[in-house]
Amino acid sequence: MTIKASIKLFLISVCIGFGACQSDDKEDNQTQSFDRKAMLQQYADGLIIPAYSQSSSKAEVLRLKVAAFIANPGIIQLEEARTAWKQMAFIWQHASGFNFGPAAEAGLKKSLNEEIATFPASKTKIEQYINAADTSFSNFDRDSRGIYAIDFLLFETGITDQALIEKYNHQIWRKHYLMACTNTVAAGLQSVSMQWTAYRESFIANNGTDIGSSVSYFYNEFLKSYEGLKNYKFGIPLGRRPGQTTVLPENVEAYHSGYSTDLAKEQWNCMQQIWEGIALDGTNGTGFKEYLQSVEGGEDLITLTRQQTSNTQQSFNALPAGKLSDVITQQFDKADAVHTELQKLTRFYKSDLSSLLGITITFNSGDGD
Amino acid sequence: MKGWIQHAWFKQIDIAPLVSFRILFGAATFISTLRFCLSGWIGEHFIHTHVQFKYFGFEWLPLLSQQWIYLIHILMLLASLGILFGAFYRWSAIIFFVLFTYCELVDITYYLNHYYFVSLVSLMMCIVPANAAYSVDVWRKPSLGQTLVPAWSINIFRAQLIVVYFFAGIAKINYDWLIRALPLKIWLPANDTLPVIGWLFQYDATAYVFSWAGMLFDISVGYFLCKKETRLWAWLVVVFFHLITGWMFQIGVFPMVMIVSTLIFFGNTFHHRLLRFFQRIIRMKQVEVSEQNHTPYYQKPLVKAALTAFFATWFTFQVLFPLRYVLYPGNLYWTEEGYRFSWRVMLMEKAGTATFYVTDATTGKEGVVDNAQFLNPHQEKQLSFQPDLILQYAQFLKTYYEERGAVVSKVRAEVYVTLNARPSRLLISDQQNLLELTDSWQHKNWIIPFETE
Repeated sequence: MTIKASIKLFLISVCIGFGACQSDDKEDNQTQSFDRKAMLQQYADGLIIPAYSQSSSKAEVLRLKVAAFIANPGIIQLEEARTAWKQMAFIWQHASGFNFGPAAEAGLKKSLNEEIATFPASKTKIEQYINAADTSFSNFDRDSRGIYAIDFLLFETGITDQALIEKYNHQIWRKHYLMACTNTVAAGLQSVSMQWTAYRESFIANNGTDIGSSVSYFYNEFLKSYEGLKNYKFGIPLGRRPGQTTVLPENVEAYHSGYSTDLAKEQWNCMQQIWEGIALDGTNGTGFKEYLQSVEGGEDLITLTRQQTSNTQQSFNALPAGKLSDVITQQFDKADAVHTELQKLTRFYKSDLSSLLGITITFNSGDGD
Repeated sequence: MKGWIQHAWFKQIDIAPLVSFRILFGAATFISTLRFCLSGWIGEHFIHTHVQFKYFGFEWLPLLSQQWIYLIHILMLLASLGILFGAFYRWSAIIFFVLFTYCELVDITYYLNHYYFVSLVSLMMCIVPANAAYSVDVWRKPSLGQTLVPAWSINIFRAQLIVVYFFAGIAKINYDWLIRALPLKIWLPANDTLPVIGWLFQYDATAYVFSWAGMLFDISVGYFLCKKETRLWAWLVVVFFHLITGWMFQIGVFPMVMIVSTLIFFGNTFHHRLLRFFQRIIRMKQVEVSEQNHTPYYQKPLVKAALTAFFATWFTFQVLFPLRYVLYPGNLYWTEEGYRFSWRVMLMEKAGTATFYVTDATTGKEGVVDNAQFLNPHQEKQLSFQPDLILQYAQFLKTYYEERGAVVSKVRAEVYVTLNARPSRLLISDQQNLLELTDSWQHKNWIIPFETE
C-alpha cells in the first residue's frame, strides 16, 4: 500500500465519521457545550462565599454572647447564647460540605468540617479536659471541641437550666473551656472565609473535569457531605451499620439541644440547592442540573433524580417535630424512612451524575488507548 | 510456507532493532516505576489498604509487608536500569518480570491493559538476547557480543504489538462506539478546556470522527507499520494518536510506552542511527564484535524446537483468549465475562453505586455497609460494576464481621450500574445471597441480563 492509499483511507474514515454524525444530528441536534465557569461562579458567589461569611459572622455573635454568659452566668444570658449557637449551627449546614481549597485537610490539620464539627461530642472527654484545666486542644480528640461540644456545654440534657448555670458558677475552667471552643470555631470559620476571597479566582478559572479541577474537588466534597448526612446523621444513630445491635439515639448530631432534625433538613436543603444551582439567597443559577441538561442522557437523569428527591423530601416532611433522638426510640420507622430514601437517592448523585458528566474521581491512571 | 517461516523466524538478522527496543523499554519501565513511587501509589495500593481483590486462581498470593513492598520497588527500579544498560541483563529481565507481575497480581482492581502488556513484554525480554550489543554485559565480557540474532527474537514483539492494536480495533466495532459515538460523546466535552483543540470537543461530530478514526487506526496500524513504504507515516500517526489521547485522558505512561515500542518496526539503518545517538549521550565505547568468533544464540535444534513450540502456544493464546467472550451469553460490556486481557481499552463509560447489606443471624438484623470504611475510591469505583469483585467483597465482609462476633448468614447488594449514559439499572438481583455463590469460568447466571433499548 502506498502513502497515497493510506491518506485515502484516512479521508474515507473521516467521511464515514461525518456521515454517521449527520444522520444522527437529525434526531438530536444539540451541541454539548456547557459553561463550567458559570457553574463554578454560581457555586462560589452564590453558595460557598456567603455560607462561610454568614457562618463566620454568626460565630462572632456567638462569641460575644458566650463571653457575656461566662462574665455573668444567668438564665437570660444563657438563652441568648443558645439562640446565637442555634443560628450559627443552622447556617453552618450550608458551609459544611465545601472541604477543599482553604477548608481542605493540610498536614496535621484535618478538614474544617472535621476540625470544628465532629459529632457526636463526647461528654466524658469534655469533662475530663475541663477537670484537667486543659483548653489547649493539642490532642486528636476532635469530639471534645467544636460546635457540638458547645451543644453539650450550653444545652446539657438531664439537668435543669439552673443546675447548668450553677456548674459555670463553680467551675472556672468550664467557663474557659466553653470560651475556648467558641473561639476555635469562630477562628476556623473566619480564616476560611477570608481565604476564599483570594481563592475564588483560581477556583473559577480551574474549570476542567480532571482530578485536581474545581469541578472534581467540589463534586467529591458534595458527595462526601451527602454520605455524611445519610450515614452519620441517620445511619449510625438508627443502628443501621452491620454489627450494631441497638439504636444509638445519643449519636445524633445535636443531642443536647435537640435540633438534629432541623439541622439535617437544613443540610438536605443545601444539597438540593447545590444540585439545582440555587444560591443561598434563593437566586436561581447554573448548577449540576444545568450541566446535565447539556450532556447525553442528562434529561433522563434529571427526571429520575427529581422523582427520588421528591420522595426524600416527603420522608423529611414526615419526620415528627421534636428531638430526633426521641423519634428514633419512639417512632423508628419515620426516621428510618429518611435513611432509606436517602439511600435510594445515592446513585443519582453518585455514579450516575459523575459518569454522565465525565468527572474524574480518582488519581489512578486509566486504561490507555 | 516453509520459506516464510524460515524467513520470519529462523533467519539471522541484524540485532539493532532489538537493542533499541531493550534500551527504550528499560527507560520506559524505569520512568513508569519512578512515577508510580513519586505519585505515592505504593502507599495507596499496597500499604493503606484494608482489602485486596484477587485474580481468579491467584487468591493465595499474599500482600507482603511494607518493607518488602518498598524493597520490591527499589529492585524494580534497579532491574529497569539493568535492562536499559544491558547489565546482568538476564537476571534484570527476570527480576523485573516477576516483581512487576507480582505487583499487578496483588490487587485486580488496578488491572490495566497496559500493565498486562508490560508483563507480557518483560516475559519475552527474559528470553531474547537483547544484551548482545551496546550493553554493559558485552563490555564486561566481549565474547557475549553478537551482530545477528534469530528473526523471531524481534518479530515476537512486532507480533505482540499487532495483536494489541488489532484487538483494540475490533473491540471498537460495536453499536455504542460507532453509531452512538459513546463514550467519546461523554469524554470529549468533559475535556473542552484543553488548549488549541478543546473547542472542537463540544460538537457531536468530533466524537464521531474520533470514534471512527480510532477504530480504523487501531485495526490498520499494525499492517501499515509492517509495510516499508507506509511505516514512517504510520508511526507518525501513532505518535499523534497517542499524544492526543495522552493529553486528553488520565492514562499515565501508556502513550509513551506505545510510541517507543512501535519503533521496533523500523529497519536496521534507522536503529543503527538511533543506537549511535544513544552512544553519544552516554559516551560509551562500542565493543567491536567479529561474528566469526562466536556461535549465534539459540541454534541447537532442540532449543529451536522448544522455543518455536513455546511461541506458537503463546500467540495461539493471544489470538484465542480475547475471543473467549463469544462463549458467554449476554452483553459483554454489561457482564464483563471475557472482558479483561482482551485489549479493550477506553471502550466504555461505566459506573455504579453498590450498597452492601449484611445480615447477622444472631439478631436477625440487616446492616448497611459504609464502603468508605474498607475501600479506597478507586477500589470502590471498580467494585461497583464488576460482578466477580462484588462476590469477593461479600466474602470479605462476612469474614470481617464474623471476626467481630457476628454470625453472618447473608450478604446482598444493591448494585445500580450506568453504561454509556443509559439510566442506571440493577446489575444483579438485590435479594441474591452472595455468600451462596462462588466465582468460576462459568457464565454468571445471577447477573440480570442487559436488554438494549
